[in-house]
Amino acid sequence: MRWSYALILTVTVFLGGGSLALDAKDYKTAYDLLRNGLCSLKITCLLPADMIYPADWKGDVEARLSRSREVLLIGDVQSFQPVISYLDAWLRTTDPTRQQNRPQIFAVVPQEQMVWFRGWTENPELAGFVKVAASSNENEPLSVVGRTGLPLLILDNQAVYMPTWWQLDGPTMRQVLTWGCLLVDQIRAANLRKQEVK
Amino acid sequence: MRWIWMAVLLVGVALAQDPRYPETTRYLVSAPDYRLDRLTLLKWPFVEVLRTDRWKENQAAREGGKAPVAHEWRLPMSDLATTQEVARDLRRAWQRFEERYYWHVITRLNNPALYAVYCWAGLKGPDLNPPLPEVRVDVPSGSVPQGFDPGLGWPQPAAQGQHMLDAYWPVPQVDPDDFCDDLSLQILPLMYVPGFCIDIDAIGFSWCTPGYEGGEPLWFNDAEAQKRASDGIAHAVSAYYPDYQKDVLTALRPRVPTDLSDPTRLRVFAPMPWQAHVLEGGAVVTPVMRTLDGLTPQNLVNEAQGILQTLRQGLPRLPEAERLAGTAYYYQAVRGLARLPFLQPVSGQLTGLIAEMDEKVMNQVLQTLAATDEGSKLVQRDLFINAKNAPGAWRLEELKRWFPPSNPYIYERFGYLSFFQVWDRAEVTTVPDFRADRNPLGVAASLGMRALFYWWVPVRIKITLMPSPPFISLSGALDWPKPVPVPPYVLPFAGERTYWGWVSVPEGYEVPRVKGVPGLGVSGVSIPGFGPEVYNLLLR
Repeated sequence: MRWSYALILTVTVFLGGGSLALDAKDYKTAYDLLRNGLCSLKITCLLPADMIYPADWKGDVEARLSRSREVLLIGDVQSFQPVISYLDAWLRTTDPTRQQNRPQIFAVVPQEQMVWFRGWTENPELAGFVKVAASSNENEPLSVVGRTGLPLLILDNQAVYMPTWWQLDGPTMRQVLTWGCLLVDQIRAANLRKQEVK
Repeated sequence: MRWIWMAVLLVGVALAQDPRYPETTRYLVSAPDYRLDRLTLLKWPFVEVLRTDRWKENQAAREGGKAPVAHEWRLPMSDLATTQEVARDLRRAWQRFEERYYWHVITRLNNPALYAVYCWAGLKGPDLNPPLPEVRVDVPSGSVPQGFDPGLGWPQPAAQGQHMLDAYWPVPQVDPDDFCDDLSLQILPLMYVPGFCIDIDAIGFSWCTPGYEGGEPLWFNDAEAQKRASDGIAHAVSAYYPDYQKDVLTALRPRVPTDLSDPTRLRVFAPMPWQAHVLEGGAVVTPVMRTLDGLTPQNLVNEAQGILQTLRQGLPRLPEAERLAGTAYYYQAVRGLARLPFLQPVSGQLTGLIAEMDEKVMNQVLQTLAATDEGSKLVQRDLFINAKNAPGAWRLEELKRWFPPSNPYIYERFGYLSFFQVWDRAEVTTVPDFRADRNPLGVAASLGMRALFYWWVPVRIKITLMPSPPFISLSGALDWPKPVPVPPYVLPFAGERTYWGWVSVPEGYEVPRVKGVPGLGVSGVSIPGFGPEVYNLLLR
C-alpha cells in the first residue's frame, strides 16, 4: 500500500512537472514534497536535499544574471552562447545606470575557445571587466568535459547553473562553491601572468 | 612519361591545401647537439631551441648596429628514466592531496570516533607508492596544421586518467599528522539521537523507533554535519591545496650530477621553466633521451622497428606522392643506423627492415617529390615543402610527432627529439575524479570508497520484567554502525592540477605548450634549486 502511494506521488510530481511546465521554483517545491512524502511514508529518507532543477533561461538564468556582480564561466563556451550574448550587450550598453553596474566576468575555457573572448579582451574599454584564462596551454583532441570537467555558470559565487538549463542547488553546491573562490583567484593570477610571459 | 608527371602535378596542386605555418612567435627545436659521443669528452648532450620572432628581431638589430636580442637557448637533456621518476613524484603529490583531503573531512565529520581511531591510535594502511608511470607520447591536435590527420589517433598525455589512487583502501595511506591538523577531540555538539528498540520478553512485546530498521537515527544533527563537511573542505582548500602545489615544485627540482666521470651511472633531470607550468604560463620542459644503460643494439633495432610500424600505419593516409616518397624519406635514416660501427652485430636486422627497397628507386622518388613541389611553387602554392617556415616535406615531418622517446642515435638519424613536459590544467571535478577510470565499475567503486558518511551506532534496549524488586531490568546492546550520507556526498575539486607527458618534435618544428622565454619563470612560482647557473656543468 505504501508503495502505491509512493508511486502515485512520484508520477504526479514528474508527469505533472513535465505537462504543466513547472518553473524551477515549483519543481523544487514538488521535489521537496516528494522527498518528505517518501520519508514520512517510511519508504526512504535518503533522497538527497540536493537537486538538479530544470531552469528557464528567461525566467531564471537571465533574471539572476541581470543582477550579478561577478560571473564565473567554466568549460564549453558554445553551450554558454546566450550568456555571452547577454553579457556582450550589457558590457556595450549605453544606458548609464546599466553601464555603472557592469559585472566582473571570469572565465576558464579550453585554449581553442579563447578566441570567443577577443572582442572583449582586445577592447581597451571592456578589458578591465573580463579575466579569461585557458584551462591549459594546448589544444587537445578530447571533449571539453573530458578536459575541464562540468561546464558551470556561477553567479556571485551563489547560484550555479549548467547549460540549457539546469540549476544546481542544495548543500552540495554550497560546498562546491568553496572551491569557486580559489578558481576565481587562479583566473585572476593567470591574467596578470599573461603580461609577465614575454 | 612527361605528360603523366604533368598530370600528377596538376592533380596534386588542385587537391592539396597549403600548410599553415604562421610566421608569428614560434618555439623551434633548432640545432640539436645531442651526440652521445660528447660523454666520452666528459660533456653532457644538450639541444638548442629558437624563437623565430626574436631571431628576426636579432637580425634587424644586427643590421641596424644595435645590441643583440636573445633568441636561442640551450637545454641540457634529461634521461628518460629520471623523468619517469619525476612523473611518479607528481602523481604521488596528487595522491597525497587526495588522501589528506578525504581523511581530513571524514575524520572531522566523524569526530570523535574516527578521530580516536586515526589520530590517536594512528590506524594507517600502506604508504602511497605509485609505480613508475608508463612512457608514451601525446600529440596535441593544435601542434599540427589544421586538417592534418595521418590516422594514428591523437594519443592523450601520459598523465590523463592518472590523478587517482592505485587502490582505495578503507584506511588512510598517509600519516596521521598529514590530516589530523586543525582537529581535536570533539564530543559536543551531540550529532544524533540513536534509534532504539524496546523488547519485553515476558509479554512478547517489541517496539522500535521509526526508521530503526531502515538504518536511520531518531534525530540527526544535519546542520552540524554540513558545517563540519564544509569546514573540512575549506581547510583542504586553504592548507592542503597549497601543499600540493609545493609538492609539485619539489618534484620538479633539478637533479644534476656533480661530475660526469661515470657516464653509465648518470641520472639527470634538467627542467627548464618555459616559462612556468601554471595557467597561462607555458610548461616546464626538458629534452629526454635513453642513457647508456638502455642503449643496447637490440633496443635500437626495436625502436627503429616501432618507428617503421608507425610509418606503415600513417603513410597510407597521406597524398599519393608523399605516400610513395615517405618510405624513401625514412629509408636513409635506417640505412644510416645500420652503418654505425657499434651496431654492426644488428646491422643485418636493420637492413632487413628496408630489405625490399632499392636505393636508386628511393632517390628517384624523393627527386620526384621535390620536382612536383617545385612545380606547385609556380602557381604560388607550397604542395609538400614549405621550406621557409617548415623544413623538409612537412607531412612526413609532422608524422614524427608520433615517434617514441628514444636515444640520440635514433633522434639524429630520423631528425626529431622528445621532450618531457609538465603543465597545469584548470578542472572542475570530483575527488576521486569521475573521469579518471575508463571502467564505470571502477569509478563507482572508488567513489563509493570515498563517499562522505556519518557513521552512527544503533542501540537495542532490552527491558525485562521481573516478579521481584527492582521488578525491571534494563540491558542494552550496540548494533553495527550504520552510515548516513552527508552532502556533498563526494568531495568536489575546482582548480589547477598538474599534468605530465612526453611529446616528440620534428627538428625545426614547433615545441607545443611552451610560452615566452626559457628560464625566465613567472613571479610567485619558483622551482627549488633552479637558477641561472645550475646547468653550467651540463652545458660546457
